Amino acid sequence: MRQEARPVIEALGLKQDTGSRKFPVYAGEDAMLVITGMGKVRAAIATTHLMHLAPRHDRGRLINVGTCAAVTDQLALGDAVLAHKIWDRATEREFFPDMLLKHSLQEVSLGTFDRPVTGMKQPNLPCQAVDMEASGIYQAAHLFLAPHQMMFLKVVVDFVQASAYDLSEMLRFYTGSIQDWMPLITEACVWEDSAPAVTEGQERLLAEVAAHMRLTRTQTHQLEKAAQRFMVRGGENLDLLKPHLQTRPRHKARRNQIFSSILAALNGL
Amino acid sequence: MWQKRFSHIYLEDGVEPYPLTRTILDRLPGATRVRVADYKHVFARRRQSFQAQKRSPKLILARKKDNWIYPGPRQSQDFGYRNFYYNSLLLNCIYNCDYCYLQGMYPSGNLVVFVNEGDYFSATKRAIEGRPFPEEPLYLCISYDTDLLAYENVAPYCARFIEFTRSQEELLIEIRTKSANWNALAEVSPCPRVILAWTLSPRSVIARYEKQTPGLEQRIRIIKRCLDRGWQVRLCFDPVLRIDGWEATYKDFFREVFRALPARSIRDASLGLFRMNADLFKRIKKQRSDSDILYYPFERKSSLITYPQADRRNMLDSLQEELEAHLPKEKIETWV
Repeated sequence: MRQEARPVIEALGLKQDTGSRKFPVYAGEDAMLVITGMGKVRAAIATTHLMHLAPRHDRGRLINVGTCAAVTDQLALGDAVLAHKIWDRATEREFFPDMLLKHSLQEVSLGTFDRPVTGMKQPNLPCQAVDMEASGIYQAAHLFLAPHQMMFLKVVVDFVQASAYDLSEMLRFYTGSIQDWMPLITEACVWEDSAPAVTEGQERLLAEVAAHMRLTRTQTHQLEKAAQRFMVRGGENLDLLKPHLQTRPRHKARRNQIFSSILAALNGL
Repeated sequence: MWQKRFSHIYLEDGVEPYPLTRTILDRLPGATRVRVADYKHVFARRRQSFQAQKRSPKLILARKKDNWIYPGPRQSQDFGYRNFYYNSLLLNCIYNCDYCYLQGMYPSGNLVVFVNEGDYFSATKRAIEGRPFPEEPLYLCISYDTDLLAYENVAPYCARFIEFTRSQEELLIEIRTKSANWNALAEVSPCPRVILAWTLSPRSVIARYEKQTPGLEQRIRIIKRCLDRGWQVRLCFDPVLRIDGWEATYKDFFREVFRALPARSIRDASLGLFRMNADLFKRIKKQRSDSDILYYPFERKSSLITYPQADRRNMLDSLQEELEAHLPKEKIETWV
């Protein structure tokens, strides 16, 4: 829901991407946000949409922020929780985001249902909270991301035993908990898994050299790999490539000759 | 930033009745428990990052349903024992050595402990009875794809297997380790049919490529204590890495080891150069770009990646000669 997204949009200073018409998308320097709407099918499609807009998937994280209903009385309205397990009610499948990062929130097993769950008198469910999106988001995101790159953050706004509160009441519980979970989101925007062997600046240099020299795709790939090996084996920088920013070979044979000499230099550390 | 190791324990359906489950849960009281129908739902997920998970590995308790014992592969070290077998009581290792093939073998950096120890003991008894060369003992490596002793404080498998071995006259077990966990052995009396095998490396290799493992001094200290108590001890100089200045580094290292340890008390030793199954090696290189030892210009020898022939010969000739200055030749098993 747009109301659920608003605090995140404001905290991260995101601006609406007017090019995205099917799903509202907001973007900033380090983060993108999509409003999925309700239900796991819409959520899966919206996640896939976002993944296609995201510049790269090997770094960064996906956080599903939303609301849930508690199954157990160990949770209170307004509690922010992280899911260590997602159980899909319809398929009985279970999914496990990796819980690598320290946090101060309560963890739950989250069940994803296809329709709103209310008025359940004696819920005998293998989960402590339920929502309608998490399993769809996990499955879609898992095509692009590793399980440690996903986080499912929910705020309890209801109980499955009760009949639904009205929306404004639920939003009150949700916004009341923002200070508990927003730091986790702002932190997540700057998490790096590990320092890559080749920096972003060096990646740009490699791309420029490849473009100037009109390298084939295979050669570009070989150049990237050789540069990576060079750096891992103790190379200080890739300055030896800089002269080739001026190189514009006139024919293929010359290009291949220069390319071989570059590879030899990178491999010969 | 990262959760501590084993902050979460995943419990496969059906593991609760096993005593080892209770022991482990009691030893990790603060861990969050998560139920899982089948351990593979966690361990064998697609697209996991082995190295990311190694920052905060989780524990999975499961039942092994079959294959409690495997025949040893031909290209592995059998030390001349023809009834060579191994088992997998744990999947994965608490250490994370740069050269370790487990990074390519398992999809996950998490650790699986199989809690149905009784099934392993029964399978071992059956294997002893049915061993192909009855005149020789069954030689079983119980810490083959892991480091069991390093994890003894949580899952006391070494002590239990040592006790089991005492009752089996025809069983010889090897426990390979880098651990310096003396507490795990302090209360266990030595058994002549148990070989404690330590992998040793020069200090610089340990610091750079065997992160989180005990240092050389600590390993030597526990080996000394074990020798004093009468344990059978094997030294494994394997894998030898072709680092800058390898010759001087490894020769000095051998001298240091045998200055500290009485060579005559050592049962035997192995010497082997870095080598790895080519498929596993390819998978590891795809995942990580932070270790220079993976980027040597290796040579493929049948299904193995190893150093080029000339380097291999040169390294082995030189190091074998140095090792033979400390140990009789017949006590050294060499792997090219």
